[in-house]
Amino acid sequence: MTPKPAAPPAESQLKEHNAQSVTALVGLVGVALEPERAASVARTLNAQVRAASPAFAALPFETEPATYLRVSAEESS
Amino acid sequence: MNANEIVGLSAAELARAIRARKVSSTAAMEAVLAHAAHVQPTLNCFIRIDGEEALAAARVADAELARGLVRGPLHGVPMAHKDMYYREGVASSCGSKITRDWPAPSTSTALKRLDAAGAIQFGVLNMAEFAFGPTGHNYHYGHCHNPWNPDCITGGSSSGSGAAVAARAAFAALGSDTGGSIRAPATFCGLAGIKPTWGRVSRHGAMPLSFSMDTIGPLTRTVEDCALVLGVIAGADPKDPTASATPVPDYAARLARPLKGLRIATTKQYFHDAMDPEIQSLVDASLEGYARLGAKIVDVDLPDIEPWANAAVMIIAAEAAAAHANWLRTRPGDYSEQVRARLELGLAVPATTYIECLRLRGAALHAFSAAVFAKADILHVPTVSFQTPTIAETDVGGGDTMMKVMNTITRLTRVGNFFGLPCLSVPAGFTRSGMPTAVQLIGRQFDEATLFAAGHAYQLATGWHLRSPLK
Repeated sequence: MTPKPAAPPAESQLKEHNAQSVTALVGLVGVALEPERAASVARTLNAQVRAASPAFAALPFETEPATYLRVSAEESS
Repeated sequence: MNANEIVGLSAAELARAIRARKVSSTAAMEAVLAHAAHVQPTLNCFIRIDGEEALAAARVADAELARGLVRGPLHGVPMAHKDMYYREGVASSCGSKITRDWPAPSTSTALKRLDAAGAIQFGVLNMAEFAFGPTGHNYHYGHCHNPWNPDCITGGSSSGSGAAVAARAAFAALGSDTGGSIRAPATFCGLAGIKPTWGRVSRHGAMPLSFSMDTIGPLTRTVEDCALVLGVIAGADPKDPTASATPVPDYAARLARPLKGLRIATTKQYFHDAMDPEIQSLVDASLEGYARLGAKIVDVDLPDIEPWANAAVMIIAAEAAAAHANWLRTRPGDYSEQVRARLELGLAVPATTYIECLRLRGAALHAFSAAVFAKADILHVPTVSFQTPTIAETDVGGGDTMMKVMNTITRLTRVGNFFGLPCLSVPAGFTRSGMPTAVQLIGRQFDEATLFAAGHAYQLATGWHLRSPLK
């Protein structure tokens, strides 16, 4: 008898940052945010992440973070 | 030479005049101190002026010269700097309430190099609080006003640097640029300003904002002055491991290169979105000017910049929030509303998102460089897409509107920081309302020399830099 495939993991209920998630996250580093401030942060952060996401999706798995940028003259010409 | 003629000199012209004994350093200092006192009530560009100490230093410089000692290429030249460059034992306000009484433990490498070159610092300049604001507002020390129209913003965060140098109240000034903080005030105040390659100038002893985006450079009246000052402050530094050991060329000696054969790229993508028509026509005229000087203009097809520009916002916010986390926990009420709100955004950027943004940078730099520098030596694009707004129009507090306004002002400049590439802001004429605007020339890593040569030739041909806001 073929084993029944495991159910896929439950999809996160949280699709985007909201006031509660921001309050919790920021609270973990010791900063208290009023609800209106947290809601404003969430709206701005969601907009930034949405706009950057197409580039995230195209990143190859092996890509390392380039904190310190270096491109040789030969490579850039 | 009278005081008005002295303050009208560029830094390089004054340095030559001092060495030729046509002007004394003391006379130059007296002239600039008097002029600074005259413009300060209108422009609020200084946070502090150290007149007595500076005059004493100028007398020493004159005495040294009389003995035949020339310290360096800026011997006896009065300068003032954005108040974020530490000098041992002296408080650096960083435009903030929090550090206003904090004595710096050591002197920044940039200031040490300017001192060694003979420059004399006579004051510290207004700036956005913690260099985190592109307009020139400061709620602790008062807003900085534009010398071309005091109702208008100077741009920021190097607001005092832009206003003081444009108003002839300093011969040159250091600024810093994390998302456009040299190029915006250079544009709105009609100056040359270089955001050098990331790593070109040591950041030791300079207030940090976003360590992977921060750069240090001068705002000056001429491109020649920019080349002169960058040549003094650039180079490796054991106190800053991120300062590059790439040799520093003699920028000033390379200024006179002809533009014939230089390939200048232009594009209609991203940088020209939603442009004010008058600014667009001045940018177009600037490009035609370079063509008349012999440059070959080539069209380039850019990759999609928009996601990278948004990633840049998150990198700056996250790195700044990490730097400020302790004070955000303990002294949140000591920040202005706007800066606090921008830092809080950074606290909420998840580590994964921040690192995804950093992972974009290498590939983005390669893609941008391949698109531009395979065909050209320089990319010619506007620094801003709009006319200079007023201080009142951009006094937007800390809500959602604020982030949109901030991101609009830095939209065309912060990508240069994301790539780490050198960007030179060069005046490109005046609008009908009499306000200056500029273009930025973006070059290959560590190729500031080519940008300076192009900008210098353009300035000699146009003379925009010779106009003064002084009535």
